[in-house]
Amino acid sequence: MFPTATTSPFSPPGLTSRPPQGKTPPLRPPHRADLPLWLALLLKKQRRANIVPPPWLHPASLADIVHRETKVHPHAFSEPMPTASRARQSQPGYAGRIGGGDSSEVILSPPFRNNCTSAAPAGYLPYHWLEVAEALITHASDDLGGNTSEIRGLLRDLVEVRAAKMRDSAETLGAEGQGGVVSLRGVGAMELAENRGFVLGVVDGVRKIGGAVETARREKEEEMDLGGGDGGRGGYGGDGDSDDDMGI
Amino acid sequence: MQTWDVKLVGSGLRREPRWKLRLLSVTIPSLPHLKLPQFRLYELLSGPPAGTSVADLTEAHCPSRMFRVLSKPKIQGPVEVGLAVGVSFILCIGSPHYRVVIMSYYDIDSILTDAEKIPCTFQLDIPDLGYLDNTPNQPLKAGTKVNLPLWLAEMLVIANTGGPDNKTFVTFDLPRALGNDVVQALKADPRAVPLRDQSAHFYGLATHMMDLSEEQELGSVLRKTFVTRAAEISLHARKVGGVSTKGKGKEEGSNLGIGGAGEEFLRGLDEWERKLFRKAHDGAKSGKEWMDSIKKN
Repeated sequence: MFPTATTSPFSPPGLTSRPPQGKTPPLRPPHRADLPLWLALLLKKQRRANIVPPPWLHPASLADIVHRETKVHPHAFSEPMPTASRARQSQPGYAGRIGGGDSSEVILSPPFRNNCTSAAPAGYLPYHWLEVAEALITHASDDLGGNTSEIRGLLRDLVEVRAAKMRDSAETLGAEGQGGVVSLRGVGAMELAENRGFVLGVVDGVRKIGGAVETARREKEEEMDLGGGDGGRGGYGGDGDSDDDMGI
Repeated sequence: MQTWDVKLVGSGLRREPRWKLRLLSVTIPSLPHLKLPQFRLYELLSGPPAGTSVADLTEAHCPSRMFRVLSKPKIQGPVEVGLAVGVSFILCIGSPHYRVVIMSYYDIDSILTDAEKIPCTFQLDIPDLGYLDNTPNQPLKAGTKVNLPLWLAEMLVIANTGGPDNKTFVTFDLPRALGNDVVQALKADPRAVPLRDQSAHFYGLATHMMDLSEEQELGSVLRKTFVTRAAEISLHARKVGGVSTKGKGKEEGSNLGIGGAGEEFLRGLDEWERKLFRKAHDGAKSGKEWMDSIKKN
């Protein structure tokens, strides 16, 4: 007889083919255990476990994020979960990352950060939000509290509003005087993958169009460099000479 | 072989009295800001000294008034800059006759762009070329307007005749695709102009023309046009993905309603924009495929 464990996903879905480090905790029926997403889904399909949905997937949390994306910051992606930090006792008023001094303890790359696991809090989208949400809706819809369609609707709103922002980023990239910089903070893995080709294409196009102007600017700079060099050499002859060179 | 995207504009066809070679840019597409350490380009103000070839010239000659350093990078010995993809020219320097060989280039879009016609005005009487203006057996008069393909116009505009007044062979006007009314229309609404009707290689043509002329305004208008249309392209790319899987079931990607007006816009895309559309579409499509794969497993 297999135990029916109440599990929650703990693993970036990108690693689903291989178990992550560490042992699988003992699975005893009424207790919760953190499992990799692939294992949780497997057990779920075999009807041996229920999955506790991550807090950010709750409709209230998603609605909050949609509100932030559309009303509060209509031009920026919603922020990822802030890095865990703690007030420093020695310096009142300052805070440092947990595990601050020893950089080996701080994990900053997205798939392994806390906000990408089952520990992700409500109100922030984890790096793999779209993938996890899609997997859970597809395979564990009965664990989501019966409001799958609401969650699905909210997710589609999010996808659309963020895709629109990604499109607008193209215009920001080409806007003059902004240095062609666009912040991708808080963008999920799926969105990055989908838009990579397009955004790079836009950047390349803008580079080619600006090429002539850029070349002219560089030539001017180089001439000024050369002019300066000649002036320096001409300086031996006297000030008048170098002024002539600069005059060209 | 290392491959670089090299854009060369030169009048190396003439050796006397001025041998001139101008390299406009050496860029590596993957590393656009890298300056190549192993190149230096000179503009020769006169022929190299007897008994030496261009390949033999070194920095030792530099202080002389003979040539001028054009770029920081350096050429050592015979140099071949070869290109594979997205490439403009192959340049070889170092044959005994100071020959610059501008060999073929493999980018089909670049070739097609070079065939675009540019309105040019000849500045000199040219014997035996009257047939270009439908007056065979007569010289081509100075001041005649002839449409020349871009590759030829480019040569003739940059090369000068070597005469006392240093005239160029031809002067050129902007082609109709980049004319004032098109630019004004683009300023008003970039999305409303079917660029393909102007030229299938609109941006390629435009960047070439900007290299040749000092038009500042055109650059910023084009830039605005490109990014505005890019956003629109991305929108359509997602939508088309939804339509193509329509038969299969419920999830049809974007639910943004764009009517049949979209098709007209897509028909007006030039080659650069078509590539961009393809990229955006591929991204959305593979995203959708991944989503579908989750449902199956």
